Amino acid sequence: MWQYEKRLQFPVNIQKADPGFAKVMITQLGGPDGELSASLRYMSQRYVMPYPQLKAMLTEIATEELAHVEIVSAMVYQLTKNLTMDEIKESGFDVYFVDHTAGIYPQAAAGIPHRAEFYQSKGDPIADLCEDLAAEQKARVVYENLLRLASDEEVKKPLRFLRQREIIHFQRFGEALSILQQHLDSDNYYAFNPSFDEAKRKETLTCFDNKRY
Amino acid sequence: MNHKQALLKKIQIQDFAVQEASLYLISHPKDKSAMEYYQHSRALLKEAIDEYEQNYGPLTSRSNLDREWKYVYGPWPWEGEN
Repeated sequence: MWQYEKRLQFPVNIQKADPGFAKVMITQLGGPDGELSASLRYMSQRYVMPYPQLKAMLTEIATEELAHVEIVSAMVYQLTKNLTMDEIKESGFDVYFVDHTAGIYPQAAAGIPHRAEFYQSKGDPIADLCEDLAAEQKARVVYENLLRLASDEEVKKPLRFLRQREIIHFQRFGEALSILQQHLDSDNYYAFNPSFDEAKRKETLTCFDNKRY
Repeated sequence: MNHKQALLKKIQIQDFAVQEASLYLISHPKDKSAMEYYQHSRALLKEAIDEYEQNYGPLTSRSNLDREWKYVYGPWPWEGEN
């Protein structure tokens, strides 16, 4: 169950419109390594996670990514406020404008709409957590490239925050993978799939995993 | 239905009432009886959540009242054991 909080996780106060930058910024909303992909990836994967720490980690990070969807959307919104037709034409924003005006639409920088092919839900926690680690690194690179392209300090501030969150999430996913491996057979981590082989999963539960309300 | 399930049901009912009143109040902000219904349901919701969390642990990662980190404890809501 979710509810909305009427605030941004990190403030966005961009005074200077920059449709050219909006065109690349939008990739972190709807692109392959964007926040929407991140949230839906973790949200989809969490169901078959075999141990409670992993369910909690994916749920919490998926939820934080939704807050990042809102930050990125707020940035694109402020970057495209009060545009003149000349600004739209000169910046190359016209190719977005023609389909969406100044509305917020999840797409990659090159115009590819957001799609579920950007992520996987493999039903195997080693495979899923390894994808998640890679996803955080790829998103870090996108934020670093955006920081190279940005010049306005008000744009850079939220970009730096979002980049740092990728690094923190990578760290937490690394710990999640380590928690998972501690439950598995250290001679062969692939001996069974604890998301599917229920009897084997039960054998590996620790007393912490069994703590219930 | 055990005590925990009964409390969850109460939260579900009161939260749904608050949700419905919120939606209605967006388009009918001057409706006094709707506002009273909202305030009444909100108070009952808070009461139900407080009682649940004191007995059965946090519902959100922002409400772990205990010194121990109980937020991760099972069962998780989709596991059908609640």
